[in-house]
Amino acid sequence: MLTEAKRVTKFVLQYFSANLQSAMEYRGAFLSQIIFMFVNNIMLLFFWWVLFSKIESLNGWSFQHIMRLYAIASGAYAVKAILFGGSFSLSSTIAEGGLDFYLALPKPVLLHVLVSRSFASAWGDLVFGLAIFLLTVSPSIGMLLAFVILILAGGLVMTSFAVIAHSLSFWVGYGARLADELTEALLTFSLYPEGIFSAVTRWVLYTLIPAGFVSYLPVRIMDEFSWPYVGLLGFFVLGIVLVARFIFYRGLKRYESGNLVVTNAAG
Amino acid sequence: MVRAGHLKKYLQVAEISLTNRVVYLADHFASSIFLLLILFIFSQLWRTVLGAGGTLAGLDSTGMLWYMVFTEVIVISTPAYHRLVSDEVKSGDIAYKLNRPYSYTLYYLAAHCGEFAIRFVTNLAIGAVFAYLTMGPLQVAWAQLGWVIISFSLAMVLTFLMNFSLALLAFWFEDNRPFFWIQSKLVFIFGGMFVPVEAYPAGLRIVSYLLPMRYGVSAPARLMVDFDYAFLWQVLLGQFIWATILSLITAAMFQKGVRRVHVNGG
Repeated sequence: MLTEAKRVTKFVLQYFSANLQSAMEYRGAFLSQIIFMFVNNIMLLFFWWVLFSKIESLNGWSFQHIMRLYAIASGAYAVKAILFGGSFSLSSTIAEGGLDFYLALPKPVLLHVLVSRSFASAWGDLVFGLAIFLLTVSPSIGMLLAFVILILAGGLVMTSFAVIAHSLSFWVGYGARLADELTEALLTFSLYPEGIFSAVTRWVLYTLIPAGFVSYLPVRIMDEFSWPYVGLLGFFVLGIVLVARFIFYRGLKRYESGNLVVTNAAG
Repeated sequence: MVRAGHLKKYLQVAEISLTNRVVYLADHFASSIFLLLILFIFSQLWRTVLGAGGTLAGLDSTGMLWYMVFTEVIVISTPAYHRLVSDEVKSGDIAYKLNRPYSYTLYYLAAHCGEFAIRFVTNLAIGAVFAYLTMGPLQVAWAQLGWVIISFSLAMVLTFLMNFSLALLAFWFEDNRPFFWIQSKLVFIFGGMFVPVEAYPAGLRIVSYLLPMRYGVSAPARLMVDFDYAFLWQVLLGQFIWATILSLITAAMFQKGVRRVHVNGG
Protein backbone atom coordinates (compact mmCIF):
# COMPACT_ATOMS: atom_id res chain seq x y z
CA MET A 1 0.00 0.00 0.00
CA LEU A 2 2.73 2.44 1.07
CA THR A 3 4.94 1.41 -1.86
CA GLU A 4 2.02 1.94 -4.24
CA ALA A 5 1.37 5.41 -2.79
CA LYS A 6 5.06 6.23 -3.18
CA ARG A 7 5.03 5.03 -6.76
CA VAL A 8 1.93 7.10 -7.61
CA THR A 9 3.42 10.22 -5.97
CA LYS A 10 6.66 9.74 -7.90
CA PHE A 11 4.70 9.32 -11.13
CA VAL A 12 2.72 12.53 -10.53
CA LEU A 13 5.88 14.47 -9.62
CA GLN A 14 7.70 13.22 -12.72
CA TYR A 15 4.92 14.50 -14.95
CA PHE A 16 4.75 17.74 -12.95
CA SER A 17 8.46 18.26 -13.48
CA ALA A 18 8.25 17.47 -17.22
CA ASN A 19 5.27 19.81 -17.67
CA LEU A 20 7.01 22.59 -15.77
CA GLN A 21 10.18 22.25 -17.86
CA SER A 22 8.09 22.31 -21.00
CA ALA A 23 6.35 25.53 -19.89
CA MET A 24 9.68 27.11 -18.90
CA GLU A 25 11.03 26.46 -22.40
CA TYR A 26 9.22 29.66 -23.47
CA ARG A 27 10.10 31.70 -20.42
CA GLY A 28 8.69 35.03 -21.66
CA ALA A 29 5.30 33.52 -22.51
CA PHE A 30 5.27 31.61 -19.20
CA LEU A 31 5.94 34.73 -17.15
CA SER A 32 3.45 36.87 -19.06
CA GLN A 33 0.73 34.24 -18.56
CA ILE A 34 1.42 34.25 -14.82
CA ILE A 35 1.29 38.05 -14.64
CA PHE A 36 -1.91 38.24 -16.70
CA MET A 37 -3.66 35.67 -14.54
CA PHE A 38 -2.49 37.41 -11.37
CA VAL A 39 -3.88 40.76 -12.53
CA ASN A 40 -7.07 39.04 -13.71
CA ASN A 41 -7.71 37.68 -10.22
CA ILE A 42 -6.95 41.03 -8.59
CA MET A 43 -9.69 42.53 -10.79
CA LEU A 44 -12.17 40.01 -9.39
CA LEU A 45 -11.46 41.28 -5.89
CA PHE A 46 -12.23 44.82 -7.02
CA PHE A 47 -15.98 44.23 -6.79
CA TRP A 48 -15.71 43.07 -3.18
CA TRP A 49 -13.47 45.99 -2.31
CA VAL A 50 -16.16 48.40 -3.59
CA LEU A 51 -18.91 46.49 -1.80
CA PHE A 52 -17.08 46.37 1.55
CA SER A 53 -16.39 50.10 1.30
CA LYS A 54 -20.20 50.41 1.67
CA ILE A 55 -20.91 47.67 4.24
CA GLU A 56 -19.15 46.38 7.35
CA SER A 57 -19.92 42.70 7.11
CA LEU A 58 -21.90 40.24 5.03
CA ASN A 59 -23.58 37.70 7.30
CA GLY A 60 -20.37 37.40 9.30
CA TRP A 61 -18.05 37.62 6.29
CA SER A 62 -15.56 40.50 6.18
CA PHE A 63 -13.34 41.60 3.28
CA GLN A 64 -10.53 39.64 4.92
CA HIS A 65 -12.65 36.48 4.76
CA ILE A 66 -13.35 37.14 1.10
CA MET A 67 -9.61 37.48 0.46
CA ARG A 68 -9.01 34.13 2.17
CA LEU A 69 -11.82 32.61 0.13
CA TYR A 70 -10.14 33.82 -3.07
CA ALA A 71 -6.73 32.61 -1.85
CA ILE A 72 -8.04 29.10 -1.20
CA ALA A 73 -10.27 28.87 -4.28
CA SER A 74 -7.60 30.09 -6.69
CA GLY A 75 -5.00 27.86 -5.00
CA ALA A 76 -7.31 24.84 -5.36
CA TYR A 77 -7.96 25.73 -8.99
CA ALA A 78 -4.19 26.00 -9.53
CA VAL A 79 -3.67 22.52 -8.07
CA LYS A 80 -6.25 21.13 -10.48
CA ALA A 81 -4.88 22.98 -13.52
CA ILE A 82 -1.17 22.43 -12.80
CA LEU A 83 -1.17 18.85 -11.49
CA PHE A 84 -4.32 17.44 -13.11
CA GLY A 85 -4.76 19.55 -16.26
CA GLY A 86 -6.10 16.53 -18.19
CA SER A 87 -9.33 16.85 -16.20
CA PHE A 88 -10.31 19.90 -18.28
CA SER A 89 -10.62 17.93 -21.52
CA LEU A 90 -11.45 14.45 -20.23
CA SER A 91 -14.77 14.20 -22.08
CA SER A 92 -13.12 15.08 -25.42
CA THR A 93 -10.46 12.46 -24.69
CA ILE A 94 -13.22 9.91 -24.04
CA ALA A 95 -15.45 10.87 -26.97
CA GLU A 96 -12.61 11.08 -29.51
CA GLY A 97 -11.07 7.74 -28.58
CA GLY A 98 -8.08 9.40 -26.97
CA LEU A 99 -7.97 6.88 -24.11
CA ASP A 100 -6.48 4.24 -26.46
CA PHE A 101 -3.05 5.69 -25.91
CA TYR A 102 -3.31 5.50 -22.11
CA LEU A 103 -4.88 2.03 -22.10
CA ALA A 104 -1.83 0.64 -23.83
CA LEU A 105 0.54 1.86 -21.11
CA PRO A 106 1.29 0.18 -17.76
CA LYS A 107 0.14 3.10 -15.61
CA PRO A 108 -3.25 3.79 -13.94
CA VAL A 109 -5.36 5.12 -16.83
CA LEU A 110 -7.28 7.83 -14.96
CA LEU A 111 -4.26 9.23 -13.16
CA HIS A 112 -2.23 9.15 -16.36
CA VAL A 113 -4.86 11.12 -18.33
CA LEU A 114 -5.17 13.65 -15.54
CA VAL A 115 -1.46 14.39 -15.10
CA SER A 116 -0.67 14.39 -18.83
CA ARG A 117 -1.62 18.08 -19.22
CA SER A 118 -0.76 21.18 -17.27
CA PHE A 119 -1.72 24.84 -17.69
CA ALA A 120 1.10 27.32 -17.26
CA SER A 121 -1.29 30.22 -16.62
CA ALA A 122 -2.46 28.47 -13.43
CA TRP A 123 0.88 29.35 -11.84
CA GLY A 124 -0.55 32.88 -11.80
CA ASP A 125 -3.51 31.60 -9.77
CA LEU A 126 -1.12 29.89 -7.36
CA VAL A 127 1.06 32.98 -6.92
CA PHE A 128 -2.09 35.09 -6.45
CA GLY A 129 -3.53 32.66 -3.91
CA LEU A 130 -0.31 32.57 -1.93
CA ALA A 131 0.17 36.35 -2.02
CA ILE A 132 -3.40 37.05 -0.88
CA PHE A 133 -3.15 34.37 1.79
CA LEU A 134 0.05 35.88 3.21
CA LEU A 135 -1.65 39.28 3.32
CA THR A 136 -4.46 37.96 5.52
CA VAL A 137 -2.50 35.94 8.10
CA SER A 138 0.65 36.39 10.14
CA PRO A 139 3.00 34.29 7.99
CA SER A 140 4.63 31.22 9.55
CA ILE A 141 5.77 27.79 8.38
CA GLY A 142 2.71 26.22 10.03
CA MET A 143 0.33 28.59 8.23
CA LEU A 144 2.07 27.96 4.92
CA LEU A 145 1.77 24.22 5.44
CA ALA A 146 -1.91 24.60 6.30
CA PHE A 147 -2.44 26.61 3.11
CA VAL A 148 -0.75 23.93 1.00
CA ILE A 149 -2.84 21.14 2.59
CA LEU A 150 -6.09 23.07 2.20
CA ILE A 151 -5.52 23.92 -1.48
CA LEU A 152 -4.49 20.31 -2.15
CA ALA A 153 -7.77 19.18 -0.58
CA GLY A 154 -9.75 21.75 -2.58
CA GLY A 155 -7.86 20.82 -5.75
CA LEU A 156 -8.70 17.14 -5.27
CA VAL A 157 -12.39 17.99 -4.79
CA MET A 158 -12.38 20.12 -7.96
CA THR A 159 -10.53 17.44 -9.96
CA SER A 160 -12.79 14.62 -8.72
CA PHE A 161 -15.89 16.65 -9.51
CA ALA A 162 -14.53 17.30 -13.02
CA VAL A 163 -13.81 13.58 -13.48
CA ILE A 164 -17.40 12.71 -12.47
CA ALA A 165 -18.87 15.40 -14.77
CA HIS A 166 -16.68 14.46 -17.74
CA SER A 167 -17.21 10.72 -17.22
CA LEU A 168 -20.85 11.29 -18.22
CA SER A 169 -19.44 11.16 -21.76
CA PHE A 170 -19.15 7.38 -21.37
CA TRP A 171 -22.95 7.26 -21.21
CA VAL A 172 -24.22 10.33 -23.08
CA GLY A 173 -21.67 10.56 -25.90
CA TYR A 174 -20.12 14.00 -26.29
CA GLY A 175 -20.82 15.63 -22.94
CA ALA A 176 -18.07 18.26 -22.93
CA ARG A 177 -20.44 21.19 -22.79
CA LEU A 178 -22.43 19.86 -19.85
CA ALA A 179 -19.22 18.95 -18.02
CA ASP A 180 -17.74 22.40 -18.65
CA GLU A 181 -20.87 24.07 -17.31
CA LEU A 182 -20.89 21.93 -14.17
CA THR A 183 -17.21 22.55 -13.45
CA GLU A 184 -17.65 26.25 -14.18
CA ALA A 185 -20.55 26.32 -11.70
CA LEU A 186 -18.36 24.73 -9.02
CA LEU A 187 -15.62 27.30 -9.55
CA THR A 188 -18.06 30.23 -9.61
CA PHE A 189 -19.83 29.19 -6.42
CA SER A 190 -16.44 28.68 -4.73
CA LEU A 191 -15.72 32.37 -5.23
CA TYR A 192 -18.79 33.70 -3.39
CA PRO A 193 -19.20 33.57 0.41
CA GLU A 194 -21.63 30.98 1.70
CA GLY A 195 -23.14 33.67 3.94
CA ILE A 196 -25.13 35.07 1.02
CA PHE A 197 -26.87 31.81 0.17
CA SER A 198 -30.15 30.43 1.50
CA ALA A 199 -30.23 27.20 3.52
CA VAL A 200 -31.35 25.13 0.52
CA THR A 201 -28.59 26.52 -1.70
CA ARG A 202 -26.03 25.84 1.02
CA TRP A 203 -27.20 22.27 1.22
CA VAL A 204 -26.61 21.94 -2.55
CA LEU A 205 -23.20 23.56 -2.16
CA TYR A 206 -22.12 20.96 0.37
CA THR A 207 -23.42 18.01 -1.67
CA LEU A 208 -24.23 18.18 -5.39
CA ILE A 209 -21.95 21.11 -6.28
CA PRO A 210 -19.38 20.80 -3.47
CA ALA A 211 -18.08 24.38 -3.41
CA GLY A 212 -18.37 24.17 0.39
CA PHE A 213 -15.49 21.71 0.49
CA VAL A 214 -13.40 23.64 -2.04
CA SER A 215 -13.38 26.96 -0.20
CA TYR A 216 -16.03 27.56 2.53
CA LEU A 217 -14.94 24.84 4.94
CA PRO A 218 -11.20 25.50 4.40
CA VAL A 219 -11.78 29.20 5.18
CA ARG A 220 -13.65 28.18 8.32
CA ILE A 221 -10.76 25.89 9.31
CA MET A 222 -8.33 28.79 8.95
CA ASP A 223 -10.64 31.05 10.90
CA GLU A 224 -11.63 28.78 13.77
CA PHE A 225 -9.50 25.62 13.63
CA SER A 226 -11.22 22.48 14.86
CA TRP A 227 -10.42 18.80 14.33
CA PRO A 228 -14.03 17.85 13.45
CA TYR A 229 -13.89 20.32 10.52
CA VAL A 230 -10.54 18.87 9.43
CA GLY A 231 -11.94 15.34 9.75
CA LEU A 232 -15.04 16.27 7.76
CA LEU A 233 -12.92 17.80 4.98
CA GLY A 234 -10.58 14.79 4.89
CA PHE A 235 -13.51 12.37 4.86
CA PHE A 236 -15.23 14.22 2.00
CA VAL A 237 -12.03 14.47 -0.07
CA LEU A 238 -11.38 10.75 0.28
CA GLY A 239 -15.02 9.97 -0.51
CA ILE A 240 -15.25 12.08 -3.66
CA VAL A 241 -11.90 10.80 -4.96
CA LEU A 242 -13.11 7.22 -4.58
CA VAL A 243 -16.51 7.98 -6.14
CA ALA A 244 -14.84 9.71 -9.12
CA ARG A 245 -12.48 6.78 -9.58
CA PHE A 246 -15.36 4.31 -9.37
CA ILE A 247 -17.51 6.20 -11.91
CA PHE A 248 -14.61 6.61 -14.35
CA TYR A 249 -13.65 2.93 -14.32
CA ARG A 250 -17.32 1.91 -14.49
CA GLY A 251 -17.65 4.06 -17.59
CA LEU A 252 -14.41 2.76 -19.01
CA LYS A 253 -16.07 -0.63 -19.42
CA ARG A 254 -18.40 1.03 -21.95
CA TYR A 255 -15.52 2.73 -23.76
CA GLU A 256 -15.22 2.10 -27.46
CA SER A 257 -11.83 2.88 -28.90
CA GLY A 258 -11.51 5.12 -31.93
CA ASN A 259 -9.52 4.63 -35.11
CA LEU A 260 -8.16 8.16 -35.07
CA VAL A 261 -4.44 8.16 -35.75
CA VAL A 262 -2.74 10.65 -33.45
CA THR A 263 0.77 11.24 -32.21
CA ASN A 264 1.29 11.26 -28.47
CA ALA A 265 4.44 11.87 -26.53
CA ALA A 266 4.64 10.74 -22.92
CA GLY A 267 7.36 11.04 -20.38
CA MET B 1 -20.13 58.68 -46.03
CA VAL B 2 -22.93 56.28 -46.82
CA ARG B 3 -25.41 57.38 -49.48
CA ALA B 4 -29.05 56.53 -48.75
CA GLY B 5 -29.11 54.07 -51.67
CA HIS B 6 -26.15 52.20 -50.19
CA LEU B 7 -27.79 51.84 -46.82
CA LYS B 8 -29.88 48.96 -48.12
CA LYS B 9 -26.93 46.65 -48.65
CA TYR B 10 -25.68 47.21 -45.11
CA LEU B 11 -29.16 46.52 -43.79
CA GLN B 12 -29.05 43.27 -45.75
CA VAL B 13 -25.69 42.40 -44.18
CA ALA B 14 -27.24 43.00 -40.75
CA GLU B 15 -30.22 40.85 -41.70
CA ILE B 16 -27.99 37.97 -42.88
CA SER B 17 -25.97 38.17 -39.68
CA LEU B 18 -29.18 38.13 -37.63
CA THR B 19 -30.66 35.21 -39.61
CA ASN B 20 -27.46 33.18 -39.21
CA ARG B 21 -27.81 33.53 -35.48
CA VAL B 22 -31.51 32.57 -35.48
CA VAL B 23 -30.57 29.21 -37.05
CA TYR B 24 -28.55 28.36 -33.95
CA LEU B 25 -31.10 29.70 -31.47
CA ALA B 26 -31.44 26.44 -29.50
CA ASP B 27 -27.68 26.31 -29.11
CA HIS B 28 -27.73 29.93 -28.03
CA PHE B 29 -30.33 29.32 -25.30
CA ALA B 30 -28.29 26.39 -24.00
CA SER B 31 -25.23 28.64 -23.67
CA SER B 32 -27.13 31.05 -21.43
CA ILE B 33 -26.65 28.82 -18.39
CA PHE B 34 -23.76 30.95 -17.16
CA LEU B 35 -25.98 34.04 -17.28
CA LEU B 36 -28.55 32.28 -15.10
CA LEU B 37 -25.85 31.08 -12.71
CA ILE B 38 -24.40 34.52 -12.15
CA LEU B 39 -27.86 36.09 -11.83
CA PHE B 40 -28.83 33.45 -9.29
CA ILE B 41 -25.76 34.23 -7.17
CA PHE B 42 -26.33 37.97 -7.34
CA SER B 43 -30.04 37.67 -6.58
CA GLN B 44 -29.04 36.05 -3.29
CA LEU B 45 -26.18 38.49 -2.74
CA TRP B 46 -28.27 41.65 -3.20
CA ARG B 47 -31.09 40.27 -1.08
CA THR B 48 -28.58 39.64 1.73
CA VAL B 49 -26.70 42.93 1.36
CA LEU B 50 -29.59 45.29 0.75
CA GLY B 51 -32.48 43.36 2.29
CA ALA B 52 -35.72 45.29 2.40
CA GLY B 53 -35.23 49.02 2.04
CA GLY B 54 -31.45 49.14 1.59
CA THR B 55 -29.97 50.86 -1.47
CA LEU B 56 -26.64 51.06 -3.24
CA ALA B 57 -25.98 53.95 -5.63
CA GLY B 58 -29.70 54.69 -5.40
CA LEU B 59 -30.86 51.21 -6.41
CA ASP B 60 -32.59 48.66 -4.19
CA SER B 61 -32.01 44.89 -4.43
CA THR B 62 -34.54 44.51 -7.26
CA GLY B 63 -33.01 47.43 -9.16
CA MET B 64 -29.49 46.03 -8.66
CA LEU B 65 -30.41 42.66 -10.13
CA TRP B 66 -32.19 44.23 -13.11
CA TYR B 67 -29.18 46.53 -13.60
CA MET B 68 -26.99 43.46 -13.76
CA VAL B 69 -29.34 41.76 -16.21
CA PHE B 70 -28.76 44.66 -18.62
CA THR B 71 -24.99 45.00 -18.14
CA GLU B 72 -24.46 41.24 -18.51
CA VAL B 73 -26.77 41.06 -21.52
CA ILE B 74 -24.91 43.89 -23.27
CA VAL B 75 -21.54 42.23 -22.67
CA ILE B 76 -22.48 38.66 -23.55
CA SER B 77 -24.48 39.78 -26.60
CA THR B 78 -21.51 41.59 -28.13
CA PRO B 79 -20.37 39.45 -31.06
CA ALA B 80 -16.71 38.60 -31.52
CA TYR B 81 -16.21 39.95 -35.06
CA HIS B 82 -13.03 41.61 -33.86
CA ARG B 83 -11.38 38.17 -33.84
CA LEU B 84 -12.31 37.68 -37.47
CA VAL B 85 -11.02 41.15 -38.37
CA SER B 86 -7.75 40.49 -36.49
CA ASP B 87 -7.31 37.20 -38.36
CA GLU B 88 -8.08 38.81 -41.70
CA VAL B 89 -5.54 41.55 -41.08
CA LYS B 90 -2.87 39.11 -39.90
CA SER B 91 -3.40 36.58 -42.66
CA GLY B 92 -3.72 39.23 -45.38
CA ASP B 93 -7.21 38.01 -46.32
CA ILE B 94 -8.37 41.59 -45.84
CA ALA B 95 -6.93 42.28 -49.33
CA TYR B 96 -9.73 40.19 -50.88
CA LYS B 97 -12.36 42.28 -49.11
CA LEU B 98 -10.97 45.70 -49.92
CA ASN B 99 -11.96 45.56 -53.58
CA ARG B 100 -15.57 44.58 -52.88
CA PRO B 101 -18.38 47.08 -53.42
CA TYR B 102 -18.81 47.95 -49.76
CA SER B 103 -16.95 49.66 -46.97
CA TYR B 104 -15.00 47.14 -44.91
CA THR B 105 -15.78 48.98 -41.67
CA LEU B 106 -19.48 49.47 -42.37
CA TYR B 107 -19.82 45.85 -43.46
CA TYR B 108 -18.63 44.69 -40.04
CA LEU B 109 -20.65 47.35 -38.24
CA ALA B 110 -23.79 46.05 -39.96
CA ALA B 111 -22.90 42.41 -39.18
CA HIS B 112 -22.16 43.40 -35.55
CA CYS B 113 -25.52 45.16 -35.18
CA GLY B 114 -27.49 42.30 -36.72
CA GLU B 115 -25.99 39.67 -34.47
CA PHE B 116 -26.04 41.90 -31.41
CA ALA B 117 -29.77 42.55 -31.88
CA ILE B 118 -30.80 38.89 -31.88
CA ARG B 119 -28.43 37.93 -29.08
CA PHE B 120 -29.58 40.88 -27.01
CA VAL B 121 -33.25 39.95 -27.37
CA THR B 122 -32.74 36.25 -26.53
CA ASN B 123 -30.38 36.89 -23.62
CA LEU B 124 -32.65 39.61 -22.28
CA ALA B 125 -35.64 37.27 -22.46
CA ILE B 126 -33.79 34.71 -20.33
CA GLY B 127 -32.37 37.25 -17.87
CA ALA B 128 -35.65 39.16 -17.57
CA VAL B 129 -37.70 36.03 -16.83
CA PHE B 130 -35.21 35.04 -14.14
CA ALA B 131 -35.11 38.51 -12.57
CA TYR B 132 -38.90 38.78 -12.66
CA LEU B 133 -39.37 35.41 -10.96
CA THR B 134 -36.75 35.97 -8.26
CA MET B 135 -36.94 39.70 -7.50
CA GLY B 136 -40.13 40.96 -9.07
CA PRO B 137 -40.92 43.29 -11.96
CA LEU B 138 -38.87 46.23 -13.15
CA GLN B 139 -40.65 49.58 -13.11
CA VAL B 140 -40.17 50.49 -16.76
CA ALA B 141 -40.53 54.13 -17.80
CA TRP B 142 -42.59 53.15 -20.88
CA ALA B 143 -43.09 56.72 -22.06
CA GLN B 144 -39.33 57.25 -22.13
CA LEU B 145 -38.43 53.83 -23.56
CA GLY B 146 -37.58 55.35 -26.95
CA TRP B 147 -34.73 57.35 -25.35
CA VAL B 148 -33.45 54.24 -23.62
CA ILE B 149 -33.45 52.31 -26.91
CA ILE B 150 -31.46 55.13 -28.54
CA SER B 151 -28.94 54.89 -25.70
CA PHE B 152 -28.68 51.09 -26.09
CA SER B 153 -28.20 51.51 -29.85
CA LEU B 154 -25.38 53.99 -29.29
CA ALA B 155 -23.87 51.58 -26.76
CA MET B 156 -23.94 48.87 -29.42
CA VAL B 157 -22.08 51.15 -31.85
CA LEU B 158 -19.60 52.14 -29.14
CA THR B 159 -18.74 48.52 -28.30
CA PHE B 160 -18.25 47.86 -32.01
CA LEU B 161 -15.91 50.83 -32.43
CA MET B 162 -13.87 49.88 -29.34
CA ASN B 163 -13.44 46.29 -30.52
CA PHE B 164 -12.89 47.17 -34.17
CA SER B 165 -10.18 49.73 -33.42
CA LEU B 166 -8.38 47.21 -31.22
CA ALA B 167 -8.69 44.59 -33.96
CA LEU B 168 -7.07 47.02 -36.42
CA LEU B 169 -4.00 47.10 -34.16
CA ALA B 170 -3.19 43.79 -35.88
CA PHE B 171 -1.76 45.95 -38.72
CA TRP B 172 1.04 46.95 -36.35
CA PHE B 173 1.20 44.20 -33.72
CA GLU B 174 1.69 40.50 -34.40
CA ASP B 175 -0.45 39.57 -31.40
CA ASN B 176 -3.18 42.03 -30.39
CA ARG B 177 -4.90 39.69 -27.90
CA PRO B 178 -3.39 41.41 -24.82
CA PHE B 179 -5.17 44.64 -25.82
CA PHE B 180 -8.50 42.83 -25.77
CA TRP B 181 -7.67 41.29 -22.45
CA ILE B 182 -6.89 44.70 -20.95
CA GLN B 183 -10.06 46.13 -22.49
CA SER B 184 -12.20 43.35 -20.97
CA LYS B 185 -10.80 44.20 -17.53
CA LEU B 186 -11.46 47.91 -18.10
CA VAL B 187 -15.04 47.06 -19.11
CA PHE B 188 -15.42 45.02 -15.93
CA ILE B 189 -14.28 47.90 -13.71
CA PHE B 190 -15.07 51.13 -15.54
CA GLY B 191 -18.02 49.64 -17.39
CA GLY B 192 -19.61 48.89 -14.00
CA MET B 193 -20.48 45.28 -14.80
CA PHE B 194 -21.57 44.28 -11.29
CA VAL B 195 -22.29 47.63 -9.61
CA PRO B 196 -23.13 51.02 -11.09
CA VAL B 197 -20.01 53.20 -11.28
CA GLU B 198 -21.90 55.75 -9.15
CA ALA B 199 -21.13 53.44 -6.19
CA TYR B 200 -17.35 53.80 -6.69
CA PRO B 201 -15.10 56.04 -4.62
CA ALA B 202 -14.86 59.57 -6.09
CA GLY B 203 -11.51 59.13 -7.91
CA LEU B 204 -12.53 55.95 -9.73
CA ARG B 205 -15.94 57.36 -10.48
CA ILE B 206 -14.45 60.36 -12.26
CA VAL B 207 -12.11 58.14 -14.29
CA SER B 208 -15.06 55.99 -15.34
CA TYR B 209 -16.98 59.12 -16.41
CA LEU B 210 -14.10 60.00 -18.72
CA LEU B 211 -13.73 56.56 -20.36
CA PRO B 212 -15.99 55.07 -23.05
CA MET B 213 -16.68 51.80 -21.16
CA ARG B 214 -19.26 53.41 -18.90
CA TYR B 215 -21.21 54.71 -21.91
CA GLY B 216 -21.14 51.28 -23.53
CA VAL B 217 -22.34 49.23 -20.54
CA SER B 218 -23.20 50.84 -17.21
CA ALA B 219 -24.94 54.04 -18.35
CA PRO B 220 -27.63 52.52 -20.62
CA ALA B 221 -28.31 49.78 -18.03
CA ARG B 222 -28.74 52.37 -15.31
CA LEU B 223 -30.97 54.46 -17.56
CA MET B 224 -33.22 51.47 -18.04
CA VAL B 225 -33.66 50.72 -14.36
CA ASP B 226 -33.71 54.28 -13.04
CA PHE B 227 -34.70 56.72 -15.78
CA ASP B 228 -33.90 60.36 -15.23
CA TYR B 229 -33.80 63.14 -17.86
CA ALA B 230 -30.70 64.88 -16.45
CA PHE B 231 -28.87 61.55 -16.52
CA LEU B 232 -30.18 60.81 -20.03
CA TRP B 233 -28.69 64.02 -21.50
CA GLN B 234 -25.40 63.33 -19.75
CA VAL B 235 -25.30 59.77 -21.12
CA LEU B 236 -26.30 60.69 -24.67
CA LEU B 237 -23.69 63.47 -24.73
CA GLY B 238 -20.98 61.07 -23.52
CA GLN B 239 -22.02 58.42 -26.03
CA PHE B 240 -22.10 60.91 -28.89
CA ILE B 241 -18.66 62.35 -28.01
CA TRP B 242 -17.08 58.89 -27.68
CA ALA B 243 -18.75 57.58 -30.85
CA THR B 244 -17.28 60.56 -32.74
CA ILE B 245 -13.81 60.19 -31.23
CA LEU B 246 -13.69 56.42 -31.83
CA SER B 247 -15.05 56.79 -35.38
CA LEU B 248 -12.26 59.24 -36.21
CA ILE B 249 -9.63 57.00 -34.61
CA THR B 250 -10.95 53.93 -36.43
CA ALA B 251 -11.04 55.72 -39.79
CA ALA B 252 -7.49 57.03 -39.34
CA MET B 253 -6.20 53.61 -38.25
CA PHE B 254 -7.89 51.88 -41.17
CA GLN B 255 -6.50 54.38 -43.70
CA LYS B 256 -2.99 54.05 -42.33
CA GLY B 257 -3.25 50.30 -41.85
CA VAL B 258 -4.40 49.33 -45.34
CA ARG B 259 -1.38 51.10 -46.77
CA ARG B 260 0.68 48.39 -45.09
CA VAL B 261 -1.14 45.63 -46.98
CA HIS B 262 0.98 44.19 -49.79
CA VAL B 263 -0.85 42.25 -52.48
CA ASN B 264 1.21 39.90 -54.60
CA GLY B 265 -0.29 38.45 -57.77
CA GLY B 266 0.48 35.01 -59.06
